[in-house]
Amino acid sequence: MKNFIQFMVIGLGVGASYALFAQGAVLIYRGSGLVNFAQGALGTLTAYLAFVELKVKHDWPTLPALLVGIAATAAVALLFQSVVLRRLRRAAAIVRVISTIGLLGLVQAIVEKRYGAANQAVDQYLPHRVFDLNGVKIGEERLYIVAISILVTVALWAWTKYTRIGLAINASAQNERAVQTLGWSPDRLSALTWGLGGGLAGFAAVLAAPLTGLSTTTFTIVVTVAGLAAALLGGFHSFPMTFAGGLLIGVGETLATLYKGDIQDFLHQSQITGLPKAPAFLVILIVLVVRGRGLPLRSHIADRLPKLGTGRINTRGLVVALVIVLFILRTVGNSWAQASYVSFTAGVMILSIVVVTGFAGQISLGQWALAGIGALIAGRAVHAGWPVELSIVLGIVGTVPVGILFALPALRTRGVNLAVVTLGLGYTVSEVVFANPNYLGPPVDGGTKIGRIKLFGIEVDAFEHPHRWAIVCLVSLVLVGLVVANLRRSPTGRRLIAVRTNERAAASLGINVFSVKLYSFALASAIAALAGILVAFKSQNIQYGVFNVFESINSVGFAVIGGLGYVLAGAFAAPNAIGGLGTRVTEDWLHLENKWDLILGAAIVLIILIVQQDGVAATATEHSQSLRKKLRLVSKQPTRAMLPDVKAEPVPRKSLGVTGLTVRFGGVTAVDDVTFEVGPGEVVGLIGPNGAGKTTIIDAVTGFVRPSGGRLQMDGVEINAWNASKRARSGLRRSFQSLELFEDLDVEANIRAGADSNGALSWLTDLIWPRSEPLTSEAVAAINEFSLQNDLERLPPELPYGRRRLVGIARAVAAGPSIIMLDEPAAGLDESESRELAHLIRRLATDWGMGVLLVEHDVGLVMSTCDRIVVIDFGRVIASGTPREIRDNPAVRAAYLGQDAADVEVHHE
Amino acid sequence: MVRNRSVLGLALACTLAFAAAACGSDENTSAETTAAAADTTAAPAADTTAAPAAADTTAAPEADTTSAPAVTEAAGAGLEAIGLWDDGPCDASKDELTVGLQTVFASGVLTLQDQAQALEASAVAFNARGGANGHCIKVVTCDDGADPNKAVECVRTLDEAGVAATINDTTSVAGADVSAGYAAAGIPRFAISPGQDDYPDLNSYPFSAGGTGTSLMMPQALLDQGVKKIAVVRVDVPAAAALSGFVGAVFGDNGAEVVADLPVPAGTTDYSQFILAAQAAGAEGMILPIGGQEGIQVLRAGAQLDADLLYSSSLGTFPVSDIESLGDYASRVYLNGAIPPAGADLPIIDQLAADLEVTGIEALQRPNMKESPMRSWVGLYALLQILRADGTEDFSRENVKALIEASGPIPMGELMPDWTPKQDNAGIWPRSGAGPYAFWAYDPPSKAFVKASEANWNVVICGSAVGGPCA
Repeated sequence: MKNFIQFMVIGLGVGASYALFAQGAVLIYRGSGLVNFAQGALGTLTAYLAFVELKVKHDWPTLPALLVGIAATAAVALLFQSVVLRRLRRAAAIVRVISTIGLLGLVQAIVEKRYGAANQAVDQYLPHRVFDLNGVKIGEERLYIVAISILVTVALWAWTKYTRIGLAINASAQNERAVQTLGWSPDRLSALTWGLGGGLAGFAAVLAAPLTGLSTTTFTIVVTVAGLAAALLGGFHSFPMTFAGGLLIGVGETLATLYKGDIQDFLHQSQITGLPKAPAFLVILIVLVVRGRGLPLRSHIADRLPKLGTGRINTRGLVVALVIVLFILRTVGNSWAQASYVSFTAGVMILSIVVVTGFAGQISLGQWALAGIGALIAGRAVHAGWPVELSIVLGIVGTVPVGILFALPALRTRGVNLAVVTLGLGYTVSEVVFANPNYLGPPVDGGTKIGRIKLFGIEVDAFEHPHRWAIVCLVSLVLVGLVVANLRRSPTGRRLIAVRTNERAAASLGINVFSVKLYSFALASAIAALAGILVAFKSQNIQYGVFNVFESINSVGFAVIGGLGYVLAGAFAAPNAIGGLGTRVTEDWLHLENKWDLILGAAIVLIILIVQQDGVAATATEHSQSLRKKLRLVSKQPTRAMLPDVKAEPVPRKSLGVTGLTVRFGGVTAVDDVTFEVGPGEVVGLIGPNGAGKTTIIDAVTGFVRPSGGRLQMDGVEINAWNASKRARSGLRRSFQSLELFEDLDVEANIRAGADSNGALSWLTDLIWPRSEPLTSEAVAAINEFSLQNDLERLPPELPYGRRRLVGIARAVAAGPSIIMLDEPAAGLDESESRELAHLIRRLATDWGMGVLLVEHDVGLVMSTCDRIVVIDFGRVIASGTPREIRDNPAVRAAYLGQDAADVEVHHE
Repeated sequence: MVRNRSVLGLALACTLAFAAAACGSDENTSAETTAAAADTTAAPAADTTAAPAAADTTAAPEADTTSAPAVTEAAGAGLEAIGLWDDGPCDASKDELTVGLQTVFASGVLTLQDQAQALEASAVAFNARGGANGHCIKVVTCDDGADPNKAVECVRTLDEAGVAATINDTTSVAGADVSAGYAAAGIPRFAISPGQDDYPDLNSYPFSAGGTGTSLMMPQALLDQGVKKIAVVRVDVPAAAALSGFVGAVFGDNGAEVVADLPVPAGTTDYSQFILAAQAAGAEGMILPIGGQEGIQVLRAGAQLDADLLYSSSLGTFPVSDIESLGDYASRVYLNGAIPPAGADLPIIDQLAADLEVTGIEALQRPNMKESPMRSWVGLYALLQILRADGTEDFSRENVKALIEASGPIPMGELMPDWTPKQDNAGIWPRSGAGPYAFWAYDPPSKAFVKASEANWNVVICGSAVGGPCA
């Protein structure tokens, strides 16, 4: 028991340090909505400035050195916010996150350049007596750290909860415009949090440095592994919970150290690795997943996303490029051949990130861990005597289930949470699997020995035959590139992009969001496994150190620089890989060494992000198209074939029954015992004041909100247990008040996304032979019905608002649903557009035979269009009947319509 | 049998990760080397800033005999008496003897740039005393950055630079590829610090068992002090995880028992937990196959808690200054090595230190000097003895390798017992060196290291799963 208490106490000290690092990250996140991966590097900068530069080199007293170090770091953070982040204000979230990785690289390189990479000890400057309390020893300096951590936590909590500026910071991360209207400058608020957050990083570092010593990476590891996990438990919002998260990890770590032997004995394992941090992290992971949501709430704000390429393959260009590359490969020496295969391999990894993050929008920072799994499986198979070719296939296929495991958190988390979760999973795999000699092969080998590799009888060993191995890697890159390009152009790719753009809209169109996420992780893990195998098989004895989370973070950075949404990102970003072609250029041609190459590299990353947020591939594509046009190399676009004049076919006739529907959010009852029915060919209006619960009813019926009670039926079949996409596929579709179009897809692709068939096999066949099916007759009819023929190749943002509304409805109509629920379709339309919309809605009912539920504030439109109307107020039905009955109902007049409603025209029943 | 094999496997898995622990990682280096192909005929500048990367092998050294390193007072009385010589400056017009060194200059795990700097400084010193039979010695170094790609690239670089042999090279990654590469190129690896993949490499000629061997010898120092319950505080890498099993297998018969195996994860912020965990497990002593940064934090935590433990680590991990900083608690620390520490009061060590200190490089100053850079000097010293004994002026790698292979015991004076480079040990690690180790304790009053005990690697491991039969 004494030992338990002793290690609990130590754990509290460790956890308090983690919490201190994490609080700065949380503060920055609250102020700018950004996870700062450079938090540890900023701490490192402070510590070196204070302890080495000022204290040792310039003989300053400790306190002034610490204060100046912290202030200088705060200034650096502020400068970064002002120079870089302000210019990235409109950039995609991931671009902003990657910019912090650029800052990390820059700071670390500068520190290494100035102070060297060698580690240094720091003398303890806090009082450090040891107290003995009944055998439990407590270091005095640890008490100070715990006390300071508590004080900082309380101060931050109070500041953000009770001060005007603190509240403004909170609000700024949620809605910058709203904050602006209150007279605050979001930029200044962000700058303030960056300055304070940077200072906090420095403060944490100078407290921890005497306990950890100084190295250029220690604090980065502390922040990345423990600090972010602690922040995650606090949801990157709550300072007290972040503090608790830090303590949890700290205590978990020290207790794991104490009981490691017992745990090994209990599990009958000769060795368990990763014990100190993995269990606490897994607890946080579980909390997060339990707390997460399958589909985002209405309040979810879609960030700007990285631009997408077309995925079109320029066969002639590809062949020419390949010939040139192969020719150059023949002529270069071994060093350049080696740099080539390093780059080609990096390109394969980048393509895996393009799939999962660029196309599907799922940020994964664990891709190199998956690569390591692929390498491990394939390596062990080769070691066991399997043919190399078969082993590679086994490695790729065997990694897919692990990739799907990585995807599971993605089903309930997204954005920054998912990024940190995947990072943690990657770290856990590295620690638990790759650090355990028992899993890697015979421990005698110190890795996984595979000897010299032959492929199809040809020696391709990377050391003896670097040119051959480079060709193997090049072929892999090209094949994967073709697969990813095919995916981009296919209906499956459309599904991925739909989910990335808007999960709710995708689900409303029958796209199974969970399946798409699992698929994207599975495919990306297969590609990552190939990259891992290419990395591993270039050595005769596979070492697993390279398969770590920092490589994963770097690769995401490379992918962003290359162009996250472009297949060409693999080609443009790959040379940046360490040891790749870029390294050869900087060393052999520019003669940049002694860390200048690293400094330049990090600076270039930041410059590229500022100048071209969509990546080099986007710029290259634009310039290439422009050049081709100038050189008249582009043939005139063929005129699009006219769509056939397809008339609407009646949809399957189904009715929707809603009985006793109740929805509660915590203690608030938003919808209370609502009952109504929508029959085939019938337009039912659902009206009521703002906040009455109308959209919540649509959300509940379509599967976006789980009802607390009631029964939902389609044609008598209960659908309560069905998820949103299944309800959509059964013929129940909706439009959105806020449009929620797929902004990256043109109008045709938007409509196709609503009408695509998705056979199980197409997940695979689309990778090889992407389908290019003609539009379904329902889709063509919808296009004709809404007169969208001339807008098909335009992106939604290029259309006037009214047209965009129509696209949203047409997309829902395109699959010919039996029931369609329109959420304020006339919002923002002028009078004539509303009149036209009313006719369209009627035609959906009369010509298509759809049942329509119309939620609308335009009383005239409702009265003139609907067969029946249901009126709700405060979540309860207060009236239902024909438009005339509703118009004349005193209760409805009192609650909603007002006394002038008698003048409103009604639909002739 | 199965158990024995398992232990054997675990033991063998102690790869060069231990180099991180035992070869040192954390010296304070502020000055930097000159260009990688060092001008070894002149005294190296103390404050140059050129890059420590792959070599420019085309530049021939210029003779500058005016900058010869100092000759110590003791040595000056008679270099020959301590096994050295002074034939005057080398002749820059003759073909050079090109030697190479590949190591990790700086990384998060290993920082061994001082090995390269020391080899360059040693070449300068020996060139001033006659070089290799009158020919100047040229040094080409390569930083593999602990990156597998660069490690392989370094082999190519040194091959293309025409090195006749490598001296004291250390490979932390892609060991199998590097070993195979040097063997294929016919470049003998002389006085290397071997890692896991180097032990079976018949092209390597180590004089000790490298970081792994050093780590595995650590328990012996504690046993010599009567400590039998041992905690292992180690780097958190796969290979190191095998150490506890090995200690039990090799030292179990002597009553040694590993009572706690404590990996130190990266980013650890409180090292007192390892001290307390060891004590909670009943440990009386602790071995520290661990990097210098972590190691000194563990020792400081022990000192702060005034823990009643003895510690065993390596001379490659800690410079004198680190140990000195512990005050009286330093007397609890035992450091092993194949050669004496820089703090030893021996004339040849004085000369070695003088040859390296003249650079002005912080890590090569005596209080900061660890075993890893000293091995560069010792390696070159031994190779030159072979060449001098033959009188050869053919410095082709084929001839150099043939001479190394044919060499009998090289007199090593007070550095270590006479050493035969080609030494195929019994057991499964044929190329693990001759294996003389000494255990040094720090004496706070005199501020000097004193030899506490010594043991031979081959004797210690004989009869175990990894060693040959005992004589």
